[in-house]
Amino acid sequence: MGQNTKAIGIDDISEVNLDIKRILLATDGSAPAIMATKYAIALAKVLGASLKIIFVDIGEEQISFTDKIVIVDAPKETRRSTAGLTIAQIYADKNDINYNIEIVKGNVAKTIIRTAGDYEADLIIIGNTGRTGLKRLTLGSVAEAVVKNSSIPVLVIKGS
Amino acid sequence: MTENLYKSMEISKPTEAQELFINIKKILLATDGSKSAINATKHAIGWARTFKANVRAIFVDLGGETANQTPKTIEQYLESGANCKNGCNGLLVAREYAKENSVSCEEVVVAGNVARSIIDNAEKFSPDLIVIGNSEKSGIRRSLGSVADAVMKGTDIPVLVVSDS
Repeated sequence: MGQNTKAIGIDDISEVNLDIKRILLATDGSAPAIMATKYAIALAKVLGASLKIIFVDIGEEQISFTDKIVIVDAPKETRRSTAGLTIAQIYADKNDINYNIEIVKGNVAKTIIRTAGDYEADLIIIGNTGRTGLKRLTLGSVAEAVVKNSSIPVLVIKGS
Repeated sequence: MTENLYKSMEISKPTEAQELFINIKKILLATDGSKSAINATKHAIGWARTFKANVRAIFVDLGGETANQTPKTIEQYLESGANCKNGCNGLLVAREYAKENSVSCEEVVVAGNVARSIIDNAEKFSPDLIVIGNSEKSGIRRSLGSVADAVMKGTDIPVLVVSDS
């Protein structure tokens, strides 16, 4: 035992504080993303952290999030995404947290990681949509890619 | 929190948005003593301290004798003649961090497939959060991903993945 204790050999064991001032939430409006949204807002409230809520637009649609936007004649995927942001906004207001919302263009995982870095996020929260469709089978899920490449801790909320 | 989270799937009526709460009572920390696992340990203890949660730290010994899924303490495991340098060390780090931060923590060693054992243990312990490093490699021969990927796939419990930097 004594030997093992010595073998710890890392910097001094010390007090650790959960220092989460900024949280980045990525949502695509899917069910797991909505659950991640609720989790992120509840956590931001408890910790007094700020929340940046993003949707990553990989397509060519020129969509923007202004205020409670609902594009009824937009493609289904786009509608769901903006609905996701609207839901986040309503929950964030209801729970009185400090937040901002942005639509960012680019590759999903890379954009999440880059935006989190720019925001100096202490935590990334995403929903795990699992694997559906051929693309995800070959490339792995967004959550896997973010988890693999992010130096910022990633909290993955799964939908059932 | 988890329960409420999964119960409330209603998304069509956002006007009914309610106040949200988070309650984390039990945290499962998976460690193999690697750098990312040590970082994960610090995060797990930090969360536990904030939420006054209990921690169970688990090391899965892939090279351990077959399929003895009965969790052992570090002392029991070492007494059985097993050799678990890094993993047991990781558990001792968790023990020391917990002690230093007045967090209640139990450390267990399980032998078997890493991701499977973590998931099985999570099912029994039913934590509100699983914390894991991102560098731990799966023992599954055909696996393309990490243990974190496999755990994420195998459980509905929120998973916090921490890197080594």
